[in-house]
Amino acid sequence: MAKFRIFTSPTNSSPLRQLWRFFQRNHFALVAFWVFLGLILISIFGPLIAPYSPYEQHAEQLLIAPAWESSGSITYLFGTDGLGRDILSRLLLGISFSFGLALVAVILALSIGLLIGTLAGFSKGIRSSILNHILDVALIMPSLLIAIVIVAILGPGIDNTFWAVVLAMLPQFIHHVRTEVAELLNKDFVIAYRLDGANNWQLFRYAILPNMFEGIVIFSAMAMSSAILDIVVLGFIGLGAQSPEPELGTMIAESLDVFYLSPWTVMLPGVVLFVCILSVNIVGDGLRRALKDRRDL
Amino acid sequence: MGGYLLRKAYLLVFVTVGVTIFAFSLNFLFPGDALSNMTGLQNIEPALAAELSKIYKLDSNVVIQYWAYIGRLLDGNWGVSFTNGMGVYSQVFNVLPATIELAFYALLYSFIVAIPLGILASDVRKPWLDKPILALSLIGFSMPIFWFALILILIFSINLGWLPISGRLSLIYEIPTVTGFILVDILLSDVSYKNEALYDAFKHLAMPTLVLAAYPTTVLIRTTRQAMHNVLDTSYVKAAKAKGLSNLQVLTRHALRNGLLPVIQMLGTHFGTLITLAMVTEVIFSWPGLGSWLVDAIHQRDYPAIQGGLMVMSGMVFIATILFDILYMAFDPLARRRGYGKI
Repeated sequence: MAKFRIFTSPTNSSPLRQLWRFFQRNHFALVAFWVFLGLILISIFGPLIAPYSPYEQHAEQLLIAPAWESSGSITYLFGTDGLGRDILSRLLLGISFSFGLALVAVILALSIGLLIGTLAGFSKGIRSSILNHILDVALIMPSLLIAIVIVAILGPGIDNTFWAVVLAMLPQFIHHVRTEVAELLNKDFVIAYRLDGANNWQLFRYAILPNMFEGIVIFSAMAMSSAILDIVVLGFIGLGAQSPEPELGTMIAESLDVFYLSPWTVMLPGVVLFVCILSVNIVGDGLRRALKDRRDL
Repeated sequence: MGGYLLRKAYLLVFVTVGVTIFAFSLNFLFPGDALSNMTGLQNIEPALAAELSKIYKLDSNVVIQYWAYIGRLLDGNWGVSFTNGMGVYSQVFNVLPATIELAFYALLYSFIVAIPLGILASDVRKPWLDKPILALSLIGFSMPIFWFALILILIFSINLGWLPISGRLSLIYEIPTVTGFILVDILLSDVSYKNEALYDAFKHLAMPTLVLAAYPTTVLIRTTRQAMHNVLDTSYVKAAKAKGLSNLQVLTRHALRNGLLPVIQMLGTHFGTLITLAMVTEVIFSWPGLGSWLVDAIHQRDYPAIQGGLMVMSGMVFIATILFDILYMAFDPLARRRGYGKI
């Protein structure tokens, strides 16, 4: 008698591909992801497609309403601000200041955090306990407060804001990486790897990093939304980017004087900002949910 | 519990030393002369400078300088402000109550709104409620606080004219300062226009509270929802249901008590963010609190004031975080057994 053994073919897709499949099921997250990619493109190429220079003042074209208002004009799609600067151009550059800079800050903080956090995770005894205590103190301080302190020391400006945001995020990254590394080092497969004769670098490269990667990406997404907020809030209270720079928070603060006269000068940067933060948050949320779904599989 | 408290006390000491060392080092990190930054006097004459550095022990090594600094902190001698020459210590503690008041009302408001919403969202029999509430909380979470404030101002102050834009109380009411908390002060005062003043103070409070509450409310909704989900899955809730308790009884007697524990923990971890957001809110609404005072000081490069303000602000955050942590441990025996006094 012929025996047929029909196996259902196992899904051999890589974990990343599985993650992507789960992520795709959430349509909101998918849309947010495309928006996120679009924002990255704008923050790189934004200044190139801007119709005017964001600093150029059109003296006879003050406070023109956006094109969809009856008093608006199509030459200035989003209208002009109190100094006659084209808002669309300023927004395009503003995205690269607020969103792009936050992304770079997160990547930088992530790299430094990965380095220090891994070293700390591998260390034991008194060294790690000292680091623990310092981290405990640094972690209670909210990142915005740390950033404000650093800006108070360095002085206002967009470059100082950038460093302040990086430094303010650093303790969280170090802490996150350190706990993950310490946790993974106790796992059986890592110990097996070590027994096979892997040195610390090989252990990190082949056993720890691949397992830590996704958690870090999700954590970075959360950090990114707070980094955008930090940059923008610093700009808004006048400690971050200074006046002619088209940073979104600074733009809003600058237009407060004409807020009652022409609300769009405040509302449009606000909407762009909201879209930036919302897309990052939804992507982070979607990734987390996808990861959870894959784990429950 | 005793050992745990001891560990927390130790952490508190460590943190206090850390904050004071940090504030002390700011004297040297800030641009300008360390002596000016400490005393708050600018353009000190050489004779006076020599005398002052003897008093401030600037000629000795750093440890002794730090020790002298601690002594001055305890004496309440925090130097004077560059801009108005008044003592930093008295200024800081004059403006602090306004901040605490604002943060307290915002937290209270977010409790009242968020916990019922979180419970509703966790209800498995009403799945259609879950998504809108979560979406609302995500939107609230992503809304930059100052933009939200400006929208509210546009609607309620400019278009409708219902609420005042700035300050704590209309200038026509004069309330003597006793505690610094405006509502308490009005209640304590014996003026003839008490009710009107109270009404006015509430009108001034409405928008700042709503704006500041946006963040804790959204976080609280998510925390409550998650915690209730976890609790409703436990076997003791199923047992309570099997006993025949009604849903309300299960909720009030079993689920809520355990479900709200993570909320205490969440308060501890997010208190710092709340205080920094309070700072932004104060700046927008010209609320005379620590935050707007500190931002002014930073703008004017008033280093003694920045130092004092930062120290009080971070000290407040630290103490509140540790207190919430102790509170959490006191309420949750399971967390106590887990032991480790992590923050």
